[in-house]
Amino acid sequence: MAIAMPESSSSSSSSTTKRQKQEQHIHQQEEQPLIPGLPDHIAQLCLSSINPCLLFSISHSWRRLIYSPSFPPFFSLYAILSHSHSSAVIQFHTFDPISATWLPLPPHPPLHHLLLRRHPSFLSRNLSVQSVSAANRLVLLAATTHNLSPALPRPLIFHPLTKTWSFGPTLSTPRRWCALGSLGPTVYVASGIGSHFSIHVARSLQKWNLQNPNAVWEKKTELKDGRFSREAIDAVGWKQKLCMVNVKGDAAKEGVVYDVAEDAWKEMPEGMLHGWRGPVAAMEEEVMYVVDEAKGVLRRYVEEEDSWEEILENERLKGAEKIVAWRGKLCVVSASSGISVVDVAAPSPRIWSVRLPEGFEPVTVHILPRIPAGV
Amino acid sequence: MGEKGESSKSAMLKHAEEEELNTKRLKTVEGEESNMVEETENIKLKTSDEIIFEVEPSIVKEMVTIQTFIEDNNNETSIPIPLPNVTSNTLRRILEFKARGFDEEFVKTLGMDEVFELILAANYLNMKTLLDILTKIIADFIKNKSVEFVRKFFNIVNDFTPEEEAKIREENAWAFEGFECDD
Repeated sequence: MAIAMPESSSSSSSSTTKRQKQEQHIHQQEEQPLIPGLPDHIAQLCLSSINPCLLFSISHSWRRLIYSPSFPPFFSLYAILSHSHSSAVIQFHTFDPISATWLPLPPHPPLHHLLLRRHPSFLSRNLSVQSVSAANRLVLLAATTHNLSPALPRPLIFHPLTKTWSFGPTLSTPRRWCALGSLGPTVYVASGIGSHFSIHVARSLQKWNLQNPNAVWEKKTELKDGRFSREAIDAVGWKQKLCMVNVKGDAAKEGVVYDVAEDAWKEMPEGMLHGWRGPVAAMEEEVMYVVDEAKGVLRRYVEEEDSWEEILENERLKGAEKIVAWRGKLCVVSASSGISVVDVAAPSPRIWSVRLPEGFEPVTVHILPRIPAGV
Repeated sequence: MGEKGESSKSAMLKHAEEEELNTKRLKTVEGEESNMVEETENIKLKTSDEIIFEVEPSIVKEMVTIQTFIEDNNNETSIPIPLPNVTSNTLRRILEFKARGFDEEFVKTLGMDEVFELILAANYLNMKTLLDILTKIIADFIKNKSVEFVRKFFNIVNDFTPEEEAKIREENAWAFEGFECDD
């Protein structure tokens, strides 16, 4: 953010312009330090734990600090959006909650096919687009092409802190949809279908650790049957387990839990299954939340009682399709009301709406560190 | 101006008298000093105002800048080590703070100018623990304060235009707490 210099009244010869530029450069260097009396690197130590909203409001130099690559990053939303009208190619955008601005992500490397949210011939049906966050990265793993084939042989990865796109290891069977989840830096893909149904794929489980640069997909214990292959599923990482159900929304469903330590599939506790009436997310992989999408009710899972307790009821939560949880806040994506943020850590829960860029609707949302300036 | 030689103990006593410290606390400090076994020789530090302090090697070990200097000079400790960036007042405060076990309440009784002096000295001497504590104290102090308070406290000029200021008040409806990032 340059400081505006008073306009020079002299003629705009090249030497005058050059001098103005030099003056502007010097003026910027003389700009006040972060904390007068302390060198900036020490001021940064004092400020590194302060709320970014406060830092944003103090002065231009304090504002620049929160976007600096050397300063601990605050968290932004990363959304997959699609145009509300027919052209339904998916796009990637980030919402910076401190400045309340949307920005598109840099373009991803070219893919063989466009990633579609809707097929031109079947506008009323959404094609599944599945992504997950792990190791501070956004990972797009399953999508469908215009001729109804899997679109991604390899996961597409975005790393905000370096503002770069890359690819993950090739999946033996690229998926149109699957059960997708993460625990820590490890992504898990189970079941689903590729270009056609296969019982082998429908029962499979594989994992991939993003922090290992040479990682490949590693097979783990199979499911006992293919009943989790019918739909795109969010596998919720919770206490070193992956929890999932095989049907979305309010309908009757079956649940299963994968235990990482034992590399084994187990029954889902009855209470957990009974209350799983919409999208579920686990805050820091410790506390599970569900949005009852029909009633617009947010609930928290109480493990000791195997039951769900109500936290908040709100119209905006109806039609919820996806939720993510981070640092006491939940971000909810609903077909009818767009993106909302719920504060569940406050003494009394609060809900805000996040205005979407004009003409876009949300597919899904993730919470990741903000992109640094100058990267 | 000749060099003045004072042991750290008498410097503290003099300081305490000047500041009218609580006598019970003073006795505790003295008691700690006299109970310490002085087998290894104290290290002499000379502040910017030419005052020499004798400081125990265990304390000097925390001053990484000094410790490195000593090791680089074959552990020669008979000559006073100059600290051109640290005044006697500041060094005295640091030793006092250390003797009180880095009690944060003590720092809160100091003025902000003095706290900044301590921070600059801790940075120069490369005393990580002290620096961490002091920067945390400043952070805790401004954490929940208003924008106006923070600007006034640090003498920061508000360089936003009126339009930019108006925009700030609308924004910041919500944000995610905390920064930590594993990768």
